[in-house]
Amino acid sequence: MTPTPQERVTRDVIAPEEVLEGERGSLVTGLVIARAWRDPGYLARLEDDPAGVLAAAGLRLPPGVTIRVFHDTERVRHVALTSLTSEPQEMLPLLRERLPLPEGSEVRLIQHTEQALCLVVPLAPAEPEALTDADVLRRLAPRASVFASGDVVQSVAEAFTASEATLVGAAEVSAEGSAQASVFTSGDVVQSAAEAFVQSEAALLGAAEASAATAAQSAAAAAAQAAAATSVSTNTNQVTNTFAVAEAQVDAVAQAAVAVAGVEAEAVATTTTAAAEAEAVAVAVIVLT
Amino acid sequence: MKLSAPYHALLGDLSGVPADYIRDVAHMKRFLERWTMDPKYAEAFAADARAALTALGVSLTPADVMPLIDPGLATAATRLVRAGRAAEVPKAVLRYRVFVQEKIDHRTRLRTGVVPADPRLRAWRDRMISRCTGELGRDRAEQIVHAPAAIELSKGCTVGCWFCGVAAPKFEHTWPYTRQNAALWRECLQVLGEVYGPSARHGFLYWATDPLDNPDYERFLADFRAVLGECPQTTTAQGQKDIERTRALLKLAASMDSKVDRFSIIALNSLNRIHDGFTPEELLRVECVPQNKEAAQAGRYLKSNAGRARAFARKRAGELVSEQQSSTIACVSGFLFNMVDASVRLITPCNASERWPLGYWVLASGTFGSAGELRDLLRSMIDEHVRDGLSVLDRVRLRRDVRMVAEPDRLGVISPGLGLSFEGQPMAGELAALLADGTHTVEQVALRRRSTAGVAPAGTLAVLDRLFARGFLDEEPPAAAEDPGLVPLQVTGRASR
Repeated sequence: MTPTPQERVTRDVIAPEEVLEGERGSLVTGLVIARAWRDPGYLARLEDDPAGVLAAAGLRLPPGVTIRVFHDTERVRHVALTSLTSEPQEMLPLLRERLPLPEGSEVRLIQHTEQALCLVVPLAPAEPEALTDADVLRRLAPRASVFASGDVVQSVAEAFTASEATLVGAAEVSAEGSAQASVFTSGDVVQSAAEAFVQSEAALLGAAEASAATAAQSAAAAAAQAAAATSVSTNTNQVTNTFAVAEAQVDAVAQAAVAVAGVEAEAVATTTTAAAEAEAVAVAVIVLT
Repeated sequence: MKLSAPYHALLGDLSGVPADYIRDVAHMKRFLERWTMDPKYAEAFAADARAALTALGVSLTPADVMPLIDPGLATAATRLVRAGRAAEVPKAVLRYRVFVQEKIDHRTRLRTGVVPADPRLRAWRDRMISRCTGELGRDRAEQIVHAPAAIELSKGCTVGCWFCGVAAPKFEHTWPYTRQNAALWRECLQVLGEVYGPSARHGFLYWATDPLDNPDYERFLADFRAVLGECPQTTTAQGQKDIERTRALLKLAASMDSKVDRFSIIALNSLNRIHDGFTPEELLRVECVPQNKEAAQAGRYLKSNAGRARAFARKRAGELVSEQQSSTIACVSGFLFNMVDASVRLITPCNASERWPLGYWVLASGTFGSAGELRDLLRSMIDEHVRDGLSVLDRVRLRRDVRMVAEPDRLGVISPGLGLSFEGQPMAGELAALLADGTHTVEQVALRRRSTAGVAPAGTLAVLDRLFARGFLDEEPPAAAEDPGLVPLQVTGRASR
């Protein structure tokens, strides 16, 4: 039985140290991040009010704890350290995952404190490939099966590849039969031969439009990414500017980077000033040149 | 669509459009209406095209109209246009095609331009649009504008079409435009605009009713425009009943910048009266919907197998789409009001079926006694029934019409109108089995995938989120006649803010 919303909220209050790292906390934040990947408006809300968004998703922060969102970009990736991380060796596994770094990119180390947590929104994985041609799907459907039986008759790759070719064919057939096509099946709109013609025109252009749309989406995504990157960069800089430099940590981070990557790195590490302590985290920036 | 010379937009101010341009399109439209709905006219045209055109009173030649009714000539015209030889295609043909495209573009704008102010409602509407694409197929789904609201101003309908897709009940009475009702009406519209946002202007004032059954319809229409900023589309099966009233309504609507209105032609005699009563130019922006028996006889213009039509599925099978291709005429993902009994339902279209014979889900319903109560009711409907995201404790299963294809590292989900392919899914068969089973929560699926397939929860959560956002997860509410306990609980809980 699924709990009521009230029960759910009550259950999801968990200890500070487990907020993001505990199983439930990581799943809630994982779901929030998954949604932020596809919904720029949601990502913006998450960045503006992370505690509110997480609470709405079922994860309430303990009193006195704040949270800040860091958004990875192609150029800047964030690595979150636990509040207990203090030795360079502890960072090696985390950094090793990131190597080799693309030229011109940065890794920024951020650290949870008892009062301030960091939520990193990584780069989004590839979106699923979509197919909308009803004729192709109609032909595919009988060959697909609920997988419980293990009866796989056609690979997904083959199905979707085949559908691309069929899409073009179907559009051409549609265009040829335009004047006699009368497929406004709801019957609530006049469809004359001319309307069918226009529809088929659209179908014929479908492949090209889809391609253009994909390109446009990519461009839009790139633009959004760029905007987000700027935003993240700006936010991080603001944080950095409020922090004092901690020499020891600079050395530790730099050593870790050199040891792991074998590259020269400029590292600037900061820790929070007393005034900023309640707000956020220790931030380290490694810039690869 | 960008219009460039020599083409003109016709859904708006016509003052700058040459008279011959309007005449070409209006007369072409008149010819096609007659040719489509009147088989005897089509026969007469086949025998002597020029005489048939003259008899209809349209100033077009057979060469003008043939590329719109002959498949071969239609294809040839298309090829000429593509080859940059549009000058060889009759001007009237090109002008009419541009007009049709303008109407399609208008419909697309209605579909994509509705943006609810509440982000939950916005996400839900987007998801319902995607679900409908999956259920109905892209072509049929794109005809559904997912309007924000429909408001009935009568109880029942006097027309009683045998095929009524929403099974309008027998007419009882109307909601008169009294001083008290008018005040409540305007207040309710303000609440609708407040809760839904500016896109509420895309609502309309009929559903299982005929707007012209209400003698005060025009006054309600004008109020709607005054409060929400747009003149609602009128669709009526009684355009021929009182020609002067209809003419005045069309003038009123045009004065309020209405784009498209529609007459349902349910009998050939109705078409005759409408063609006798109005010039082609007067009906330029009025679509005449071919719903008469004769129009369906050639296997064209089939009616939706929804609502009352389902009772005639055998008797008049030739006029209906098949059960397998069942469809819907419902076009609202939002609020359905009846002002007579002061009721509201939250609805969204679906394939008409035995479970949902009217072709739409009802997610919530309630009544109100004042505008304040309406505000509370609408907000509570959104709070309780409109989801904008998954929760880790939601049980997930796929819609019943979704099938899956799995291979070791890839999962495909396929519905009649939309398929998705997820890469990087090791042991995809296991994921498919979990989704098919339908008893597991988001959390359980993610943890199981981590333990058995080594998939990081983030990867599984992204898949589930995408399936949810594209409407693949089952959110179907219990049908009215069903015991709710019999329906698997899939996605439940209060929506997040």
